[in-house]
Amino acid sequence: MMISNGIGLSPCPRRARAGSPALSLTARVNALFAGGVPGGMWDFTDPSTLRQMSNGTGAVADGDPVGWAQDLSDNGNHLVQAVALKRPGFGWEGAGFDGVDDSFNSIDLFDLSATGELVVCVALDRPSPSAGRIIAEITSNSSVNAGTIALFNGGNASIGVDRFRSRGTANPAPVGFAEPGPNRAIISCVGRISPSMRVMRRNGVEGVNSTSPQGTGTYGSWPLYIGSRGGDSEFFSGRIARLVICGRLPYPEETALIEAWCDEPLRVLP
Amino acid sequence: MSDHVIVTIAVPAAHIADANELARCLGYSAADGESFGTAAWQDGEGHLYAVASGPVRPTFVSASASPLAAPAWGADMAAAARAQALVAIHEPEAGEPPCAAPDRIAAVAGLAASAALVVLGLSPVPADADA
Repeated sequence: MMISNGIGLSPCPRRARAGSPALSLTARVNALFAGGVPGGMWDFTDPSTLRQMSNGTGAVADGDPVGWAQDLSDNGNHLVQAVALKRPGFGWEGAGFDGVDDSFNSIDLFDLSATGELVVCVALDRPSPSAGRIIAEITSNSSVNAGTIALFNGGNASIGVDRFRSRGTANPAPVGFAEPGPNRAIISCVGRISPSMRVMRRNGVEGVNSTSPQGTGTYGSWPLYIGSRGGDSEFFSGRIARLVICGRLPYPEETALIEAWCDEPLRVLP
Repeated sequence: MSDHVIVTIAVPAAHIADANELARCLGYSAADGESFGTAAWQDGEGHLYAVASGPVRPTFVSASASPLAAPAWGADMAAAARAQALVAIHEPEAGEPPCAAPDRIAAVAGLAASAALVVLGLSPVPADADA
């Protein structure tokens, strides 16, 4: 029997344990990756999952650089920053990006080539709604590369506005919000290349969404960058507490579960 | 409690390559030779700079004024020495003028990057398009 997910989409493989209240939020979000679902989840507020050096050594304390962040999804997509001066600093509300040169990248290619559907969610705290451009981007430039996504702050034409790009072979205008957002935010985005769907939520409120065609294909296998475009421009300023990129279409309650996990350190959701 | 200090360094565009060789000597791996990238910051007169900022051990700052030793991963020591000769570590004091200049590699220690950029007198070169 087909199970409706409430938005008229075919259900994807899921494990019942993901919804079990007996498990911790972390375990329940981790369960969303069961069965080989690609992606990653990172907790920049938990020093036990972070290291100072990009080779995974050196315990992290408040104010220390973070050169390695463990992927909690069991997919092995750990994040690194090999250049000492470009490492974000650890704080109890997340990794602090200085807006000058800080960023992370995946060690290997971040492989989403098996899927054309995903959900991205981030918990962040920034000094202003326009503090920084790229929050997360798959590939060094999602404007030109097919099969990519970007979660970012608009440029000159849309200062402070949170936006989401999801694209296959076509690159429709990013979706998002018409006005600047709050400094502390839980931002989630659901994307599907074909049939096209892009949904963006900020602190539980939906933005301007779209079904404009994204072309064809899957999300491809590219480097993942956090806090910058390609590691050398469009730097984010502020703290990123938690981040999830899960390579399948979520049920609405699963999106809520991911948002709740991301919200745990910041407590900004109603 | 961290034993690190935040240092912010402004390198004039003409000296980026040399500064990266110095960073290879002072840093922790060959990757530190990529510390300074695009000259995306400018002073009040339009001179361009590459800026790097981050938490480092205090020895990173003190070593910048000490005799250089070739790292295990190699470096162009002549280029590193040229860069080292330009290093000026700024001691933040109220009323001092901005310290970035085309003929020096200015470093500010002990301030967050946003405050250090004020001391350096630098602002980002405006981006011209949506991401």
